Amino acid sequence: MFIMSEELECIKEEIFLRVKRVVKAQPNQTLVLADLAEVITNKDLQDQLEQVKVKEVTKKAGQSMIITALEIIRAIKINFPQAGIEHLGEADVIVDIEDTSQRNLTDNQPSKLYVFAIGVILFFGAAMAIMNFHADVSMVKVHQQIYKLIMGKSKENPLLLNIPYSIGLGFGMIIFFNKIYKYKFNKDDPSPLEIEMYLYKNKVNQFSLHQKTELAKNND
Amino acid sequence: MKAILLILIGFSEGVIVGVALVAFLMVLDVIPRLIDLSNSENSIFLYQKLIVLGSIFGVITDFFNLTLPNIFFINKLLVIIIGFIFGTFIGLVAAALTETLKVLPLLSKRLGLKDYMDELLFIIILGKVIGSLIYWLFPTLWFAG
Repeated sequence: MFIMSEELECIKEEIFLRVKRVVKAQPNQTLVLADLAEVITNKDLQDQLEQVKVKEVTKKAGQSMIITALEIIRAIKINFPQAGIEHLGEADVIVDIEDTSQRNLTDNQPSKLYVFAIGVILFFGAAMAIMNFHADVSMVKVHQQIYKLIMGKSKENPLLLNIPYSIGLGFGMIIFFNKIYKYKFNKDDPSPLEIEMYLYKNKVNQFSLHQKTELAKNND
Repeated sequence: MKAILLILIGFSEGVIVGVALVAFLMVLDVIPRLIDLSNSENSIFLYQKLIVLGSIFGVITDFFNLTLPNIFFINKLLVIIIGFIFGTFIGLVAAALTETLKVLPLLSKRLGLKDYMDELLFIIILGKVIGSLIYWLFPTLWFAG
């Protein structure tokens, strides 16, 4: 023991700290460093460092807490007063508090009726949208003109043009999204849908982080 | 004197509409997406020229009553092919519009339907195709216009 403390005084520990962005936790859980951030330090200290207690979850399920990097650094300093801490990346962690046992029961899959209703709305909505689009841009006249251009005679309802057009409509949309019913064509880059989901999630996360920081500032 | 005014107005109209058309194509990211899918970044200049040529061809078609000579079945085949190409383009544009692209992620997150997104996308596409077919097959829908 005596020798160990001498060794500790000679080596100045360097700790690299990278805080996670979003963390899920249970109510009444004690958050240790490993839950909230990634740390790198000398090998013999790594385990000890990761078990440093940072904060206890005081809020209830469904709410969120914000833990700033400074609180984390303070907790580290209490246990390793001589460590040099390098901080990389974000400065706050959002802790979402969920009760996982409850979640698995209630948050199951939405009922089939619900999905069916949404499907019906989407189906008819999309049909209406495209019909209104056609009426809006007077596609009728354009098609009649094109038909007259190629065939030489005018026809009021150029079905020969319209039906391939409708099929091509679906084809174009499939090309754009690059997947139809889980079957991807190129198996390469992400489909625009996935990109949109990612962007939307990012926006929501950033905004809620901003909002909660504001709330936390007002409460302090 | 009036002729010069007309020419000026026509020219300015053309410039603005042209810019609007290209901006419309750009904003929706349709062309970059196609270029990405086909890995043909080298042909960007070709695409630019084709867009310009296509627009001019569209103007000519609109304002002058041209007809192609009657080479029997080629005409019908051409109509079918061009109809398909039209549909593909409009399908790409319709898919890139906000109403489809942003509705789905929003819905799936808001209403908790993440697992069903593939099915819902398919339903939307099917809805559009069938809606278009119905629109054309029943002239009463557009006859009043």
